[in-house]
Amino acid sequence: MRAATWHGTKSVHVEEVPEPKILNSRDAIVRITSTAICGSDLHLYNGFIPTMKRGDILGHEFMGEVVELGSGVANLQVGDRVVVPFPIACGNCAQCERENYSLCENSNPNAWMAEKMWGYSPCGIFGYSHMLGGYAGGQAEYARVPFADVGPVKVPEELSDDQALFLSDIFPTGYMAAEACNIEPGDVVAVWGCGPVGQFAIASAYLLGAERVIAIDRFPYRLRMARNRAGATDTVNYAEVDVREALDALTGGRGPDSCIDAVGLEGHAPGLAGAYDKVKTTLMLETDRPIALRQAILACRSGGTISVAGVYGGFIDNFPMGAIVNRALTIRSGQTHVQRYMRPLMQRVRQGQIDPSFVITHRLRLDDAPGAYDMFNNKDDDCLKVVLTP
Amino acid sequence: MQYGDDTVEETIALPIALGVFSLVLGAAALVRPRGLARLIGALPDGRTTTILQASGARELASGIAILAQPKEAKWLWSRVGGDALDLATLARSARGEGPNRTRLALAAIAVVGVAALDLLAARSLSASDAAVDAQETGEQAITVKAPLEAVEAGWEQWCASRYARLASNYVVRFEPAPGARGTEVHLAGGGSKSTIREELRRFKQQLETGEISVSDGPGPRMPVEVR
Repeated sequence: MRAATWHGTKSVHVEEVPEPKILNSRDAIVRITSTAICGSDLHLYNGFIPTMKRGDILGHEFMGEVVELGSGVANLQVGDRVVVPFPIACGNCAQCERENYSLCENSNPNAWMAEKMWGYSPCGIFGYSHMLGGYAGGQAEYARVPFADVGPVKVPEELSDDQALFLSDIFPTGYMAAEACNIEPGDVVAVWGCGPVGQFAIASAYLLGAERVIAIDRFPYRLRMARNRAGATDTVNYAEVDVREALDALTGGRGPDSCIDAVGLEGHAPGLAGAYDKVKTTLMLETDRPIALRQAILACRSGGTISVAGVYGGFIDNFPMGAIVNRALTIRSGQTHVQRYMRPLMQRVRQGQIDPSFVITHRLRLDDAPGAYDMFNNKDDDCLKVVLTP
Repeated sequence: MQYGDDTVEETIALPIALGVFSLVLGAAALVRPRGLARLIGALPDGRTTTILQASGARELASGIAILAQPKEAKWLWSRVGGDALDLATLARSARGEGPNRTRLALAAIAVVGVAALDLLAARSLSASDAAVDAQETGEQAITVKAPLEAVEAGWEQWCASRYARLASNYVVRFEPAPGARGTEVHLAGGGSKSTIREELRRFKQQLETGEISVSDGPGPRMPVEVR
């Protein structure tokens, strides 16, 4: 079968690879009909995530048709149309029982590797390095889905692939970030990063009752989408204005009640602040560039919430811990417990409260993956979200 | 229970002294190679000063490494190697006309004395490294979400079906976890820390999910093969 594979920093190929097989009794094989490139795939593309090997199949946002089932999967049938959550979770362990699916204790066969690297292991994730399980990804014609009795959700006919696909990751991710803010009437929520997760965080904050949602980015096309499609009331272009001053002005000096970091480890900033982390990461003195996170902590109103949806991989410095203590801020974070949100969010889509397909800017063939990665990484052609069809 | 070791301070006193000695000697050799050559009785010619400056740079590097990581045996072993080199150099310097053989002999005695201290420090650090390794293989624990009886029965089955040698190689202890958190499995015995952890993780997977999850492709292998 054809699959998009990783071959080093900024090198993605599409090549013939062996088809997946059932390896555990709770596996399913899915013939993929739609798959997307996620912003977090760019961290792999840019070489930020260790333990990738040449030839690893990429992708963790996908959906398709069940073509084969292991003997332990009773809730699905061959022919079912399903969307697959990116975290792999057993459904049996103490964390799964609490619906903390991304903390599953049993789904990472290479947990020892993650423990060696980080000192702990999260759940297994499709197509996201060997230390997160070495599972093949979904940017391919077929994928093996472990614990298929827990993860995949059947998609009703009335929903198109474009409407259902993002339940695999970015819609729940943006939603969980907004939910973590415990939004109350009158709240102002600021969102750093208007990539796909940021767009869904904005839309979700609005769905959850925020009074105003402020979108922060440096690309005018992303800020336009945030305002026109996701529902942001205000936008701040950090390349042109000082973010802290703009937020103070927009909130009467209070600061936003909640701040969502939808940027993660590859943050940018103009001038010295941006150069500092660029130098430190280049010298391997820190692994991530926490520029948005620092801004969010300093800008948030006292007693407010910082919700981190962006991916961080390792270690950061100049972390303003004093501001967290002195201003009694709450930090919420976590890889998304996608399985917890898929059904309720699918319900919102069916009811017409939101159409997740608004983030799609490019529809391409799987064979176009190398160019698509390049385009998405460079933000060429106003690229925000690429959907690939095998 | 007590975790940690309160004898570490004593173990690193000698390495730190040797590190400081390295720095002083290294600096002297780098800055005043001719003076040092005369002191040890060698001819202060160009060749000798070059050799002394090279040794000085090596001593400085050793000193910095030891002071930065005074618990690392390898830096002390590097000093032992340096001592051997120094003795060889002194022996070479004694050849031909001109060198003061009495002073060279005294220098050699001094080097042998320091080498003995280096050896002592290196060996005692290596021994304490081994002690730390042994501690690390001491005991690992995991919590399995099942009642005590089920976990005990499961462990017996696990040992019987897959790991016949397990029962004899390891000491296992079960304790109910507080609240409804299941059962703690404490496992101690031969093998590295990661081997024991992997054993526990697989047992937990088997008991909680009914099987052991398998990766798709061949990835990097665990450095210590399980079992």
